[in-house]
Formats: sequence, C-alpha cells, structure tokens
Amino acid sequence: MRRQWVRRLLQAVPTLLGMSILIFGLVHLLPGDVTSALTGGEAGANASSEAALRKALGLNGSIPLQYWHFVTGLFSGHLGKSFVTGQSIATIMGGAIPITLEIALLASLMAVAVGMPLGVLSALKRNSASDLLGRVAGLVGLSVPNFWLATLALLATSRFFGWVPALEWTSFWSDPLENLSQAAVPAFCVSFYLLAMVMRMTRASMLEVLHEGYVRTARAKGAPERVVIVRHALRNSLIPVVTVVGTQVGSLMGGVTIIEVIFGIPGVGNTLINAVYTRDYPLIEVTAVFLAAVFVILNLAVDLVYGLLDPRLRAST
Amino acid sequence: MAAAPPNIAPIGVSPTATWEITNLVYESLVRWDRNMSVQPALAESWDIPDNKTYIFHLRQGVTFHSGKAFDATDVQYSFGLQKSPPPPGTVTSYYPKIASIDVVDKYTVRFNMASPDATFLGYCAWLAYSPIIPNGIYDRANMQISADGTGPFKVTQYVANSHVALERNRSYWRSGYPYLDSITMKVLADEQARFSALTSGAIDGATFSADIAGAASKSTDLVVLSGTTAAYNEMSFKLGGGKPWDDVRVRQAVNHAVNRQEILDKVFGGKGQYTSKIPPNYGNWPVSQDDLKNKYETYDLDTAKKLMSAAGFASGFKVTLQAIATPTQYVQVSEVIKEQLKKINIDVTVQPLEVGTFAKNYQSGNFEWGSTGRGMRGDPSGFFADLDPAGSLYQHIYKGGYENQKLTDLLAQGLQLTDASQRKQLYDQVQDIVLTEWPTLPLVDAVKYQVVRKRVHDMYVSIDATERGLPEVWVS
Repeated sequence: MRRQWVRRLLQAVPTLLGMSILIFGLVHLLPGDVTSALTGGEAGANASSEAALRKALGLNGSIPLQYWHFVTGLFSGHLGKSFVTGQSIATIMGGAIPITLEIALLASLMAVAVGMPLGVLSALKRNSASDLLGRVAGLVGLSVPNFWLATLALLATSRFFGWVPALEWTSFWSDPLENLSQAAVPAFCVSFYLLAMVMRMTRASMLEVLHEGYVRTARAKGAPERVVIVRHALRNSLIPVVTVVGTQVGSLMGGVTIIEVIFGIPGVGNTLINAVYTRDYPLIEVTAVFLAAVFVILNLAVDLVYGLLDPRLRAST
Repeated sequence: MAAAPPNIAPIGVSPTATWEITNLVYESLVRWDRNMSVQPALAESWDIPDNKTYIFHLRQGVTFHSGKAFDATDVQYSFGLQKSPPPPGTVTSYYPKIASIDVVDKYTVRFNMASPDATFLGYCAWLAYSPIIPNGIYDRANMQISADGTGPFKVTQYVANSHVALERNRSYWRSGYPYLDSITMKVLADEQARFSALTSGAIDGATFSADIAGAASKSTDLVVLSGTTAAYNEMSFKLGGGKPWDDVRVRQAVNHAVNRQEILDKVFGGKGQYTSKIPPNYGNWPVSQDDLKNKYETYDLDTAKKLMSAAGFASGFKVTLQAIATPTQYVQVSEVIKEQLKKINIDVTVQPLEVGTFAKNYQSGNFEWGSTGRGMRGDPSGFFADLDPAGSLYQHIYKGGYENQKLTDLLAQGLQLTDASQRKQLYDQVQDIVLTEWPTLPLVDAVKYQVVRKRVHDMYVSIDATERGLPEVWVS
C-alpha cells in the first residue's frame, strides 16, 4: 500500500512539471505583455520607456531562461513578486487560496450532502414521482451553466432575501457566521453541477448494487433495511461516486474562477483572471500551477481512496 | 467599480481603474473644475513670465495623509519621478518639455521649459500623470499598494481584485470638503451583481449600460446620471499599405456611408453624440454638433457612391475590421458599420479580438481597419498625438499613406502657442483637416450612465470617466 502511495506521488511530479511548461508556454503565447496591458495601446504610452520596463522586469531574456528562473523559483520556495503590485506572490496566494479552497470545499460538501441522499432516495423510490422529479432536477443541474445560475441567484437573493455580495470578504476564523453567509450562495452556484452529477451517479450506482447477490443475502439474513442500504448497498456503490466527485472537484476550480469574478470574491480564480488581463506573468503562472496542482492532487487522492473503499484494489496493486 | 485597479501606483501610465482611486487620493499643482476650467490646487497661483518659464506659488499649511508637510521639494521630486517612473510605470508621451525644476524657496517652484509647451497646465490639471507625492516616498514604501497624497480621501485598505477603502482626509485644505466620511470602492465586474447590490442598498452607486440604466430609471429609489466622456468610438485605418483606403476619396466615402445616428440608436439606445477627434464637452475645443451633423459627418449615400466610383472602387473591396471583443460595444459598432458599408459594396469582415491582442496589433500597425476607443487627454493636442510624424504610432499606422505638412505644422504650433483664442482657432483648423481627409474616422461618443441611490446628491458623470464628483458628494 505504501509503495503504491509513493509511486503515485512520484508520478505526480513529471505531470506537474509538464503542466508548468505548458502553462508557461501558453502564458507567453498571449499577445502583449504587462506594459501594453497597463497602457492598453494608448497613444500616451512612451515606446522607449516601455522597452526599458521590459528589460527591468526580465522580459528580454529568452523564454527558456525565463522558464528556468520561474521553475527554480518554484522549487526553492521563492515565488517572486507580482509585476503589477510589487507584492510577494506568496502573500497574494496566502490571502487568496483559503478563500478559493473554502468555496470549493463548501461546494463539494453541499454536492455530497444533498446529492447523495437524493440519489439514494431516487434509487429506492425508482419510477415514483419523487424519482422523476429528482431526475429532471439532475438533468437541469447538469445543463445549467454556473455563470447563468449565479446571475439568477444574484437576482433572486437580492430581491427576496436582501443578500448581496460582500463588500469585504470576512475570513472564517474572524467571524464564522458572517463568512458562511458570504460563501453560501457562491458555493451553491459552484456546487450545482456537481450536486446533479453526484445525485445521478449515486442513483445509477445504487440501482445496480441493489440487484447484487450480497444485498439479497443481507436481506435474507434478516438484516434491517437501514443496514442493508447503508452498509451493504451504499458503501459498494460509492466507488464510481468517489471517482466522479474526485475528478469533478478538480473541475470545480474552473467554476470557482467564474463565480469569484461574478461575486467579486478575491480568491485564486479572480486573481488569475485579473493577472491575465494585466499580463502579470509570475502571478498567472503560480495561480495556474496551483489550480493544476489541486487537480492532480485530487486525482491522486481519488486513486488512493479507492484502495480504502475496495479491498480488491488494494490486493491487486 | 466595473474593473479592478491592477494597482494604485500614482506614477506612470495606468488604466482608468487605477485613476478612479488615485484621482481621489492625490492632487497636482492645478485642477479642473466641472467645466474643465483650470483652478488652483496645490499651487495657489502661478506666473508665466515668458513662454518657457512657469513659476508656481505653493499653498502653505498642506499636509500629506501621513502627516508630512507639503513643500517645494515634493513638487521637484514628483515631476522628476514622472519623467522616469519606477517599474511597472512607464513615462507618458504627454510629459511636458521640462528642462529643469528649481526650488526657489520652500513654497515657490520654477519650471524651466526646454521649449514653449502649451500643454503644461492641462497635464497638471488632468492629474492622471501629474500627482504630487512626498519627497522620497518611493524609497520607503511600495506605492503600488499603498498611498500618501494630499487629496480629499486617504487609502486605508487596498485589497487587490476586491476593494479599496477610503477615509475622509480631515486635514484637507479645501475647507469643508469632502463631505463623505468614508468610501468603499468595491470591484464588481458583473453588471448584474452591481445592479443587485445597488437595488438592495449594499452600494450607493455604480456604472451601468444603457439597458440597465433604463431599468433603473423606473425605480423611485434610484437616480440615473448620464453624460458623455472622452472615451469615444473611432475607426482606424492602417494606411500606407497600398490598399484602397490610402485614397482619400475612399475614406471620405466611408465617412458618408457610415450613419452615426444609426450606430447610436442600435448600439447605445439612441443616447450619445457625434464626435470629432476632440470629443464633445471637452471645454470649448470640439467642433459643434451642428457642424458635425450637417457639414462633416453627414450620412450621404449618393456622395459616398460617387466618391467610390471616382476612386475606381465602385465595385467595392474586402476588408477586415478588428474590434476589441470586450466590452462588446466595439464589436456591435463594427457589425452596424459592416451592414452600412455593404451599400457601397465594401465587404467588411469583423474580427473580435481580446484587448491585449488588439492593442498589440494596433501599436504595430498589424491590422486593416480597427474599431477602437479613445480616452481622456490633458490637452487638445493629445487627441492628435497619433498623427504626429515623430511618434511611433504614426510610423506604424500612417506612414507612407497619409501626410499633410500643413497639419504637421499646425500640430507643432499648437504645442507652443499659449494664447487661448489663437489656440482655439488653430485646433479648429486641425479638426477641419482631419474631418476632411479622414486619416482616422471618429464615430460617436456614447453616453455613460451612473446610477446612484436617491440619498446621494451632487454626483456627476465626469468626462474622464473617473469619479471626480465624489469629493463634493453628500448623502441625506
């Protein structure tokens, strides 16, 4: 088991490295740089001054050399400074990461806490009115883009509950209730797609498992229905659900980015978008690598959780 | 705020979002009032003994937000830094022709100009590039995320991509101002989020599109403010490539085939004005709306067709019109123009581009036609900077396709002429040439909408698209 973990962790290293090269390359493919982004092509900008700035920021070096500086900085823990604000990127990320992770975590919890019971219920009441309703809701959840949902949610919450995006983000540790009230609606918008997917996946998986011999055996042994459902059926139906949640939580980071912009939340996604606008290369690279790393780590975690859920997988690896 | 200020650096070329903050925090030697008339600010008065010397008598008893007393060394330091801004600042090409700055005494500064420069007072009054900061501050603080000015508000918190918290400067030299104790400038890029926040009372005002402003006008709790800004729409031609539009008659034909009122109606809800290179409401400099509508920018399809025939392009040609993709108005304007130019057989392909790509293409002359926007200038000469043969934009965009020695001479004279009435006549001539030969095609200046809650009084839409009104705003 330990060897499997170590092997998986080692496999993640070249993946992350490859990703950093890809991100670095893509960032430098973007037309313009920080000087043209800050001046927007205005006639007021002085060309020779822009050239001097490029030199001062190290943008005159070759792309491989710039990459070398970036990647050695990453591994030595020196993330560098933002071109635009002069702030340490570690400080910027230190402020943004907890916000994004909180929203992603909250969204995942919402998706699992609501989606899974709904899926089980739908499977147990197959073809009933509630099943039909759940399936339709699931289809809607999969089909609605979260930026559109966010716009609707903004309209509805401001009109009916007087809730609007916070002017100033409150951290969980300084005021948990205020923080949760700020994060709930954005997290709900992020979670909607995943919630629908978890619900549909749980339903399908449960339906399959409920017809398995060991469930019939459990019932024949006289086990209470609650035990049959939770211990025998649900646990065995979790493997595909975990796969979906694991991979989709990574994808949630994309959704979080859009939602952060709409709700004006100063998280990693919002930081990334604005860094792209201003061609703040070091900041783009670090935020993008962070988001990619989250994705890789989650996939890794999913692989490892399989082993815990299914002893057969443990034995085969 | 619809866009996040990337930083709040006072020195160097910055986007408008940064100015929205720095305009409230910093001041220069002089300032504009609502009508763009130059008023004293950190200088109480000034003398111009000859056309190469400006002597400013500074206001005494003024302090920066940090408590440091303001004096002549701060002016010398600030203008020195404006000439060579620290990264990521770049110097503006509008920097005046200052040869040296003498500190005559603690409250007197003399600017010695290398040559007469009529743009100097406008450069100062605009404030975008001319803020006064404490002597040596850039050595002591990261001015990209902190601030220390003499303006009506001081920055108490800057959170990138989120908000800037401002507090009233209780030592402000303008007695009684500002009225507001504090302001939070919140970044909400999504228009619906801004409108929800406004209607629920979470914010007191924001900028909106014509559609949302229309909806807001039905609310009894909201007041819709409107006005044109210097950010007008323009269509640029890449000249000198041997293309049909190198011929002045083709450009004149395009001008007459473009129906500006239709652009205003279809894209901007009918609200806006025709514009010259100098936008409407920019002091007394622009061409009147009557002249624009009836003389220069008349929609006249017959004349347009005749001009195309005379130029040998009766059967038209194909052209690609690059447009800034976001905000969408540039693409929308381009689509209307595309339809309009079909009538003179010009087949326009609209190519929306991300603003960075557009800017790069524009600066390097890598385009055929471009649908773009202009912005504020400190002096009318600034609107013609791209037509100056000495400038890099001219080299990339106009060289080899457009040259008018009389225009070049007039523009050079305009930079030196200090007499206001003579300058006015000169820029009338300049505009007449540009609006006849159309090296570039000014289109329309759309109305900008700001919606505020009813309790907000005395706010107005400033021509530079920033929140210049806030120091005089009060709430009931």
